[in-house]
Parts: sequence; structure tokens; C-alpha cells
Amino acid sequence: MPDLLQPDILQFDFMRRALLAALLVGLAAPAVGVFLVQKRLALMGDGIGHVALTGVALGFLLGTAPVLTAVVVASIGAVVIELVRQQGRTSGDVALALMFYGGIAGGVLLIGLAPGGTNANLLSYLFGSLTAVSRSDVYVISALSLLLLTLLLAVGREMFAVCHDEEHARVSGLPVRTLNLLLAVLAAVTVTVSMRVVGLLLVSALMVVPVAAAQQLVRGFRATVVAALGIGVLAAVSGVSGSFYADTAPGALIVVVALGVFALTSLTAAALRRRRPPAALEGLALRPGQAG
Amino acid sequence: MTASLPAGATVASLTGVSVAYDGRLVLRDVDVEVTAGEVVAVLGSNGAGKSTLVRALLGLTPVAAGAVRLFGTPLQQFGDWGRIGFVPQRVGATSGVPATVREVVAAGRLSRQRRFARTRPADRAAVLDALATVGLADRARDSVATLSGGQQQRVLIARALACEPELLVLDEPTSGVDADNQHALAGALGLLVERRVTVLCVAHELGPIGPLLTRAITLASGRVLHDGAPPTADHVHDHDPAHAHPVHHHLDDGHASRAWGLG
Repeated sequence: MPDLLQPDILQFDFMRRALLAALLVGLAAPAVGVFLVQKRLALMGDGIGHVALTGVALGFLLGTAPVLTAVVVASIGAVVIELVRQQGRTSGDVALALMFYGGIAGGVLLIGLAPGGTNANLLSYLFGSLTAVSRSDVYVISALSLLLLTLLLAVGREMFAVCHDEEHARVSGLPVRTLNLLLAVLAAVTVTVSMRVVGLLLVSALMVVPVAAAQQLVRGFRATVVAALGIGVLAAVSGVSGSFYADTAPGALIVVVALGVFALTSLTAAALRRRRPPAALEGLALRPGQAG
Repeated sequence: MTASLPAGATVASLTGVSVAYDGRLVLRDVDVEVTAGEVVAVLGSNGAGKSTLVRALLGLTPVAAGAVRLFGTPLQQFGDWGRIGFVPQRVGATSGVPATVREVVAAGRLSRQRRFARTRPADRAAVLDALATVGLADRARDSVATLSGGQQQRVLIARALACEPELLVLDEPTSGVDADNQHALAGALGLLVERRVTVLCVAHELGPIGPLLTRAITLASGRVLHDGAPPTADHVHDHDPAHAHPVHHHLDDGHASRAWGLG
């Protein structure tokens, strides 16, 4: 870490804010993402990101903080996605697609209607920006990420059970519907909290890639969570620091670092599998390539 | 595992229950009652309504007509889910993220734990006991993905046992499970029967669990065709009540312990 954090980048207020935001986002995004991956809904964050763009544009149009309108619109979108999923209809897939495209189109349309608004306003939200994190953004990001991490810590056991096997969780008397809706809203909050740093188009990557990287090397859920949070923080903080020197949008570098870690862990896992004697692979032979 | 109910007390009942999927009736006016200590199989061909019957009983499928009661309480008001262990019809015990055998089984203990409460030693002991019952205590720290299909099925049974249930409901626990694991499963069920746990088991074919049964319900086209003595293992594929006759040795100890050795 000291190698990445040269003292000179901490001389700038905007970099201190961006790094604090990166640290929190690096924890929050994989913490929610692990449950989405467990439910095999890895792309849900992407869908919510599309819908959040309409929220951002709405903020410009109404002259309020885009982060606040984005939280509201993304949460509504996430709840609708979850309700469609609960219906379990085959048309749910198409319904989701309609929402994603509606989210992007709505965002571009509304920003055009906003006084003085252009698509350039949306760019920093789509890809993230170092200078974009204002003091009030840091307060919002800190409060929301800490709330989110506390909630997940409190209901983690129950959330694991619901995401692992919904029907069994119902017969265990767990509030399955409430937990599913909570997860959807938490995913929406994560997307909006992360968008200033990572950008809406890449936020889902920070939710999913650290989890995918972590699960290559561990056997359990708890271990996956711990490793994914570590990888998330590493990617977010080093991505933000690196983009300061390289003068690029931080979102792209964060995701490239995360993908790099994924490549490393999957290569290591493959090497370890090859070294293990075949006798230890008893069960694996039945399900080749099964990650979890 | 406690069986506080006196033998003969009603554990679960469906009265005049009908269930419809998309307007098509899959259960028609079904009356079923399960009393404490019974080991009941629900038999029938594909589409006969076997799974629907247990799903309606557990509130996983809404009923179009009729009444469902668990431990004497109407289903809508029932909240004592720790008394029920459930093994859903499911292929494998994995999800999108790795989980250890112990983590999956511990999820079955939640129905006995207070929300936000810390895990007590009694909870840990129950999880380990459930793992020992299905013969997987030595795999507790392994990822479920590294287990065979049959072993994963046993993990799901251990999860159902972790809440120390009085009623165990299994939906096709033997489908797609190899012979060794079927015997291990029967061995685990045998131990539960000894502990006086009431068992309701949906099965396409009985296999090694046949000798444990005290009663069988055969469904055809959503109606109860036969309710009474279980068929013998030889005739289980016929689903013909004419072939059914009583099996006296409902717990074959020798068989159960042999199966145990294969765990």
C-alpha cells in the first residue's frame, strides 16, 4: 500500500476525498455483490446502473443533487426488477431488458431537456471522475456505505440462507420477500454510491469481479466475502491512485486492476488443481468447471 | 431431537385441498393426515401431484381450496418453523459462490435462532450432530462443490436436521442419487425414525427407504388413489394398490446399520 500512496497525492483535497470514497466503495460494492453472485444475478448491478442514469439526469432537470435523485430512481428500479423476478415469468427477461434500455434512453432524453444540460454532464457519472467527488458526496458516500455494511453484517446469516436456497429459507420462516427487497435496494444504493468513483457503466464490475476473483482460491462463503472485500479495496484504492498519475478515468483502471487480480487467482487455482493428486478430485470430476 | 408430541397426535393435515397451476387442477380435493411417529411416503408417477402436495402443506404453493394445518395451527398463522425440516427437490447444494458444507448446514439452524442473536454452543452442536447423522462430519470444512451429487443431497438433509425437527419433509431425496448414497440416506432416516421424528417423503421410487415406511399415499392425476400400508420393495414401480400389502418389519435394524457403514 505505501508504494501506491505516494505522499504527494495526499496533498490534494480532491484526492483525499477520492481515496476515502474509493476505500468505502471498495468495501461496499463486493459486500453486496457477493449475494448477487450467489443468487446468480451478477448482472443486476448493470441493470440498476442503467436505470440510475435516468435518476442522475432527473437531478440536473430538477436542479437537485443528482446523487439523491439517482438513489431514489435506482431503488425504485431495483424493486421493480426484484418484483418481476419474483413473478418468475419467462417474460421477466424481456421486461428487464426494456427497463435497462429505458433507463439509458430516459437519462439521455432528460439531460437534453435540462437547462444547459448536455450529454457531457453525464460522462463523469458514466465513467467516474477523480475531481467529481465533492465534500458533500463524501458525506453521502460514507453514511450510506457504513449503513449498508452494518445492515449486511446484521442480516448476513439470513441473507446467505435466502440467496442460497429461497424455498428452504421460506420453510425456515425467514422473511424472504423482505430480505430480497432489502438486497435490491442495497444494490441500488451501492450503484449510486459508487458511481462518482467507478462510473455507472463499470460499477457492476466492482460488485462482481472481486467476488469472482476471491472464489477461485477459497472454499467457503465467509472466506469469499473477506477476500472479495480485500480485493475490492485494493482495486478501488490502487485504481484511483494510478489514474491520478496516468490522468485517466478511475473507473476503467479500477476494473482493469480487479480483472488482473482475477486472472492471477484463476491461474493460481488452475496450477494448484494440476498439482493435487487425482484422488483428491473425487467429487470434482462430476462437475468440471464448477466454481461454486 | 425431541418428539414432544404423543404418538397419534396430528402433525400435518390437508383437508379438501385443491391446487391449480394456470387454471389447471393438479391436486383435487385431497385429504391427508400425518400423525406423530409415522413414516409416510407419497408415491405416484410424474405429474401425479406428489411435490405439489408437500409444497401446499408447507405454504410454498398457494391452495385454491381447502385447509392446511401444521401441528394443529392453520398454515397462515403457523410460525413455529423450527419444528419442520425440509429437503427441497433440488439438483446439488451449490450456489453462485462457494460455501462450506458446514455453512450450508448452519443455514438450517436459523429457524431455531433468534434474529440478530449470536450463535450459541447448542446451535453449533446441532449442526455438527446433523452432519454426523448423514455421515459427513469429516467433510464439514470442504466446499460443497467438491462433493458428489449424492453427498450434496446428504448435505441438504443435514441442513433439514439442523433445526432438530419433529416433522421432516423430503421432496424426492433419492432422485439422481447413486446406490451407495441412497443407502447412506436410508441409514440417516433410520436414525431419525428411532428418535421418533415424523417423516413425510415424496418418492418416485423407494429403494432402500422402503423398509422404513409405516404408510404410503399413492397419488394419480391429483387425487389420492391409495392411502394405507406401504408397498413392498418389489412392487414399488407398479403404483398399483392391489399389489400393496403390509410390511411388518418397518424398521430393519440390520439394513439400517449396513447402510450406515457406507456413509
